[in-house]
Amino acid sequence: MHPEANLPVYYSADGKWVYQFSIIDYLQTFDFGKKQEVMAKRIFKNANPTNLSAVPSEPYGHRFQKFLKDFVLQKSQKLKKKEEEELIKQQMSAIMKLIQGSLVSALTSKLMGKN
Amino acid sequence: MLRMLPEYYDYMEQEPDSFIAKMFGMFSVKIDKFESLHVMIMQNTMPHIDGAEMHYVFDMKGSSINREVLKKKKNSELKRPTGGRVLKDLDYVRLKELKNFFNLDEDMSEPILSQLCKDSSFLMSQQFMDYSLLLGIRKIEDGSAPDESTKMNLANFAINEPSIVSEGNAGVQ
Repeated sequence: MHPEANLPVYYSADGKWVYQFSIIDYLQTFDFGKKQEVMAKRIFKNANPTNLSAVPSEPYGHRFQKFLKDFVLQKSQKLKKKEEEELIKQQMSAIMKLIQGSLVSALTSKLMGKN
Repeated sequence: MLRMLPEYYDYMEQEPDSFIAKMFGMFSVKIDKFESLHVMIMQNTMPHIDGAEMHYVFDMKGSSINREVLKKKKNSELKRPTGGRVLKDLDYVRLKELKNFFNLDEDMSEPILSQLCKDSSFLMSQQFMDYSLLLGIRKIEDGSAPDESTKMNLANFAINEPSIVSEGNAGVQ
């Protein structure tokens, strides 16, 4: 293992914020009490053991991952909107430049032709 | 717990960039007439960073039940950062819109997400649950502009700290 290697530190796009990520509190297992619960259900409710033995760590993990993807690592709606607007502005100004450029070249070629 | 140690070791060896807080050692402390006490030394995942004060700490599990600390607070009461107070999922969702403190471009956040998912899948394979993502958000103070040199210094500083912990730990063992 690499005990000297620390968790990385991340900087926001605008350089104003620092983020430190880590996963903690992970030693909770599907413990004895919960196993008893499953056993009891198996005996008294005659439930399908394959359904019951589905370990809750799995749905937990999937839910965790979905939350990270959909919420934690997404920028706020405001920031997203701002960025979109900025992008459109940039594209518009690029298009305007192109139009201007082509107009100028068209004019100059006309003038040159006349001369 | 001891049962998963070999897998844990292999995984941490394979994934040096894992976000899973590292375990440094486990001890049993027995003092006369008291029951023995089990102690585990783990990595400090939020070492202090110079020039960047902790503004928010979130402990997130991906659930929405009982995951809000600041429920009774109005938006107008949330102007100040909450510092070291640990907030939860719903606070994050709310404060993010309010403060816009999460600003990572996709090329940055994508590798973080995939590593976190890998870590979570590993914990899943070991039947662990109820773990949380601890996210510390610090604001870089005005004046210490985030040019490349300070970034390097901050990174170095962060790397130095836990090595002291591990040395101390090695000594004990």
